[in-house]
Amino acid sequence: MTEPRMYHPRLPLFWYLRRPSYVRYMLRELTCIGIGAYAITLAVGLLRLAQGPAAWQGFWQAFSSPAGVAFQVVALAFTLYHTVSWFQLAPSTMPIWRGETQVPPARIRLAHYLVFAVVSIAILLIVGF
Amino acid sequence: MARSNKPMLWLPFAAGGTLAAFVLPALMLSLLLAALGIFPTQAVSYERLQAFAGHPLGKGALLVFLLLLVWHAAHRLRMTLQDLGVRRLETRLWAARICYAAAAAASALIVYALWIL
Repeated sequence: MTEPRMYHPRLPLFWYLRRPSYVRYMLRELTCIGIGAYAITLAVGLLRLAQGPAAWQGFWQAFSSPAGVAFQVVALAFTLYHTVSWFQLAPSTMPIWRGETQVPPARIRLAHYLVFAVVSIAILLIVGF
Repeated sequence: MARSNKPMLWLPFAAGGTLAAFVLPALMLSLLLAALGIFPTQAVSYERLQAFAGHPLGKGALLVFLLLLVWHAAHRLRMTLQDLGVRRLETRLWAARICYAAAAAASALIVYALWIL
């Protein structure tokens, strides 16, 4: 018996720079860094909130410092890219069938953006007022 | 068909991705506007946030929301590391361990913060 030989595809290290669609794919996947970093920041903020007014004040000062704002802007950009790419894929990840016909992808995406708009306005109103 | 534990990972991944897509941008924008002073500072005052996060419903929402975000990000990062060149079985296993260990540590932080809140 010979050893089974596995197929090892050889890819160049920066294979994803070869085509615009690969670049978009990689950007989409890397949005998780922005989302993860921001979620951990929120978790730290929650801990500081739990530790009392002084701790919260310190967190908020760092959060609203120029570096904190820069971080927030970058994280927001990552997350918006995530939103757009998530909605773009929605018709493929959860296709909706009505009898024998499939609901058109454009309509599924539009529904996502409508819900997104309502949710976003609601959050902005609740936090801001 | 072989049984797979993958759905155990897909569910938080998809739920976290969906929450991040719908809810996170507006939440980030709200906090950014507050940080820039465009929203009143009272919007993020200690009393207000403590009242929200201290309420059982707020606590539950924060718990589910933050845990799903963290596990979504960890799972996607693990998969993306493979695309970025982590291809040997051994290194891939370590990438997975590190990603999920980080998510577990963040989860512990979230649970602890909500516990003492």
